[in-house]
Amino acid sequence: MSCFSHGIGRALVGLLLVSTSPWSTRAEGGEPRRLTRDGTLKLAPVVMNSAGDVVFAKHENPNLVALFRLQAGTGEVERLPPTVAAHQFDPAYSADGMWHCYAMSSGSPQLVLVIQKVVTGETVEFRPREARATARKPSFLPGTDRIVFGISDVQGHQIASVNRRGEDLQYLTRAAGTNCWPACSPDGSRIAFGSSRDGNFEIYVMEADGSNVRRLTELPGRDMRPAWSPDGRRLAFVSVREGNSEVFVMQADGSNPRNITQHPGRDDYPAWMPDGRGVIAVSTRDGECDLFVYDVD
Amino acid sequence: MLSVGSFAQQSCGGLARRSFLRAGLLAPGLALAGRSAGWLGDQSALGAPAGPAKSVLVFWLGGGPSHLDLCDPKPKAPAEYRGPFSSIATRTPGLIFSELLPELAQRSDRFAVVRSNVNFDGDHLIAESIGLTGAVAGSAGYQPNFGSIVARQRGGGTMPAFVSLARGPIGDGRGPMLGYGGGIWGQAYDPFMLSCTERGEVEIPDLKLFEGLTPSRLADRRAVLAGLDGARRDLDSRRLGQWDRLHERAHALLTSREARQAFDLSREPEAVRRAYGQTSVGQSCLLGRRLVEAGVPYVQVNWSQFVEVLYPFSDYGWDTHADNFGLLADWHGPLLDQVFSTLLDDLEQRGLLKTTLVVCLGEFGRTPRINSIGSRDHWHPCYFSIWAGAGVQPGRVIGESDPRGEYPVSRPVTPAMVGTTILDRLGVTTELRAELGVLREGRVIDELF
Repeated sequence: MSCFSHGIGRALVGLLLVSTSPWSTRAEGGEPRRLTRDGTLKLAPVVMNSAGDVVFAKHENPNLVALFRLQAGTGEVERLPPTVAAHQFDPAYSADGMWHCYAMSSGSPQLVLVIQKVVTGETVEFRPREARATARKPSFLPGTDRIVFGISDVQGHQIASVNRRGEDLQYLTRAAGTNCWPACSPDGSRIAFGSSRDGNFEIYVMEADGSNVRRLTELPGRDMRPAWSPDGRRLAFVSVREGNSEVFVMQADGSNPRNITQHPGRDDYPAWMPDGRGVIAVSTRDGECDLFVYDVD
Repeated sequence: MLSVGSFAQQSCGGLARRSFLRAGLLAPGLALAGRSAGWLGDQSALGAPAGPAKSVLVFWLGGGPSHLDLCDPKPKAPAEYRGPFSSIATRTPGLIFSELLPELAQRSDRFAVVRSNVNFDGDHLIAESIGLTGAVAGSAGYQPNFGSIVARQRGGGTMPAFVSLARGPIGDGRGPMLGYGGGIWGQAYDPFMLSCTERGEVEIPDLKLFEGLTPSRLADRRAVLAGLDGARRDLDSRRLGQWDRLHERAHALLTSREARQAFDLSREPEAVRRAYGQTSVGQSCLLGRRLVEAGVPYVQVNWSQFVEVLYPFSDYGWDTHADNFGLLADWHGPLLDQVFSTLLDDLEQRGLLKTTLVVCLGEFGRTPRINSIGSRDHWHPCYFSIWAGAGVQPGRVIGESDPRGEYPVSRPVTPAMVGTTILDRLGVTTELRAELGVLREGRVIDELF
């Protein structure tokens, strides 16, 4: 049984995270703080533990995308094992930090989900049915043993879930268009996601069982990659509504969207800091591709 | 590894201000299979004819970029064709782009777009070969690559006449495509291959040389010759002829100040290197611009070595059978928009666009109808190309596809027309093509000029 079926456990972890966040201050001059400096192409950062360590994908070389860990205490960046010759990206961690999941390229043009128990290193894979199908952007559903993800398979591009053994595939959407980038709310009750079911990419939210879908954004241009704040009251997301890729924060009901990056460079892949006061994003604002942390309040 | 070039300090942003030429040590003999440029002492060269273009830079998007999701969106098509991306206005009346290309949309008044390219095969290796030679293979094999024709036409000089930038021979997981080089003319007209890392380090992937040369020793002609002779001893007699030719070329290149400067990306201002982005394809485009500046008449910058995007070995080509929309939003769209916009800006600001023909295209497009797994497959009956410089009238839109993007409804443009237009700009006229026995039936895309 997962210890995270207990709300008290989640609350304690939340308190621990709030007290130890190392990234929430701005650099001098009010500019967002730059967390990495190597400039190589990066994707999809997540905060992996209470220490504030960040795991992200980056191009280690032109034909290898791998997962790296940025240590909050030292700022050092190290490659995460296993060092396989396959692309690894879209990392996710369970709220207790005990489970890790990511997408990995396979021998066919497939993306499989690798689900790993962090302590033991024990792994299982979820492999989509069709030889060219993909599974991406996993998100652990708190209070359950389920992992929610975007799947491109014989049912089209949908949101689905499997258990931590990579079994028991269940579709949560069966909608037109491309349905992707699921993000589970901290209390496990809702899933935010992107969908083009109404024409172009917008942000939607549904109950954890896939019911009661509501549209949160409605503008020309793509809105994508929603990410819940730790208290579940806000969503960060990416939008091109102001002409280029920026990170916005809105209330969980879709109200009051606010651009927190405001820069002509590309700002993408938002991930909340554990204290809810900052959002990490991949940005090209300094001309290179690096991780930055933006104050939200 | 042989490293050539300058080594400077680390920038404040972490971008290494060093760039060096490496001659990679591969398996013995492997690199001497004749893969080199026909540029030095080519006795069959016909000279350098006058044309509006001094150079051509082909930006090759191997794998098949989706025309509907980039330069030919169909916002009024049914949902099973349209895809999730919005379309945006460009500076060209009547031309819309996908929202993935906002920077290029803002620069559409600097280039022309063909929306009616057609190829004759849906297999990567065949379509790429047709796309870069202008013809299907005959009984003797493929015709020479457009660049190989230029190499033969222009002949020798310090710099190679045909340079292809990739980590190795381009193709797919099955192997290289056959139309990448000299074809029926032989390996003497193959491109000179260079690769460029995301940090701007330049390497010769196919050249087998020797250990021990340092940048400081490179200027020492005797050291270079001694090293080359040492490597020569390792070869069997069968390969000596090839080696001697390569020896001469390598020595000329490695001891040429002009070549070393062209390969040295650390000579570029930080702002320029950053503008291209710290990716292999971005720095390769910068290197391509430097090669054009140095007088190389034909440069092919390859987006990737392999067309595949998701195989473990692949380097993010355009073959997006799976997750086309996610991958384009993550990687391909933003990268293409940044890199190609920067290249156009850079060429224009340096005054090179007047004499450089820039062509951006792949071997085909992708299925307008979205497949059963929510992605797009190969589609050779209709795709796009972007043309700029050397007399191309900016803002022109040539050809039109049908409302679903499946077939051209006007002005189909074949690979032979692409090649003929490229060669014509370089002064390889109908008569010269006839003399060389290439693209005899080719027609220039007149609407571009």
